[in-house]
Amino acid sequence: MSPDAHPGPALSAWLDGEVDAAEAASLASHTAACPACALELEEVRAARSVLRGLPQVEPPPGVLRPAAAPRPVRRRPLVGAAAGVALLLASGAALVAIEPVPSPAQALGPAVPPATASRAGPTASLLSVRQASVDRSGVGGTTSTARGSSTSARVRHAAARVVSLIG
Amino acid sequence: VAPTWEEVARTHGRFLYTVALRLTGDPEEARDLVQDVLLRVQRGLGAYRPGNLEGWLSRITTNVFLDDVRRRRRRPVDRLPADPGLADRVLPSSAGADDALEAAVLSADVQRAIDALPEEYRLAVVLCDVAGLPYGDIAEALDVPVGTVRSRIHRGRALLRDALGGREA
Repeated sequence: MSPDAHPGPALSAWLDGEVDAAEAASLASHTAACPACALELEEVRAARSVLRGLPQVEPPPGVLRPAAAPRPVRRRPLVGAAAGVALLLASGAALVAIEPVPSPAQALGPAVPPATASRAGPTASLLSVRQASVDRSGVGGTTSTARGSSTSARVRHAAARVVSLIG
Repeated sequence: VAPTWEEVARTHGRFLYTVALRLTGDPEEARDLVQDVLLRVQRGLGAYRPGNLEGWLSRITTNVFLDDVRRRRRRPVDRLPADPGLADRVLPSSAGADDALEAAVLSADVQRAIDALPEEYRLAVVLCDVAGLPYGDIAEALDVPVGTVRSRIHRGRALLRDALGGREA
């Protein structure tokens, strides 16, 4: 470093004991003669003290454990049970849906066959339950938009709970 | 041989959480960061060299933090407001409750100033002044030359001092 060059970052390194003796001597003589660098030194010294004075923070209970591993595509055995539950719901709904009552909602398409639901896993099962709930709300011909959507919401909610319990 | 995650949690849990909290500025994000670090420790990821546990943990923490930052850049989300309960969990100083409260309020100001730093400066000053790492370890954690570490620490401190309005000077 030439005697006239402002040291800049070396000032912080000096504070941190990260310079050798020769650089430290050069920094001392420069800051003694250069008010701008002397001020800069005091400013970074102040910031350094504030940072180093921050308290350590106690981790809240339950923090110190490894994160749950990211979910693999293949899921745990419990999921099979959940798929079974969803299958039951779907097939029950499908039985209702094939009752010979005219239902405008059936125009949306047939309920997903149970075998497909179990193969495709929870997401597809959830979809099939939602589809089934639409069909069911049409049964009896008393469908109103409000009732249909609240039934659908209830089934969806229940299905979401099943999925979240095993997720 | 690398320590187990249980050993890390027992001996360096507070170190790890404090560094994570200063880096993220948010207790939820700090928890996620700590738990991701412990997961990597559990899986034996991150080359461990005996005798430098804090440098090793800081390197893993930096990598997880930068991964998160990159992910967030791809899919930006709004930051949640700072946790109002945070001050309660800050360790009380031995000097008494008033001082502890003052320290907590002060900490919140300083934390906001840290949060406002660009990531490269934030990492450098947190690894230096919160984690207490030597420049060589910081260079390794950030994967940059020591000269760059010098610049970032110095610039980070200067920015922080500006943000605090010279109150501490």
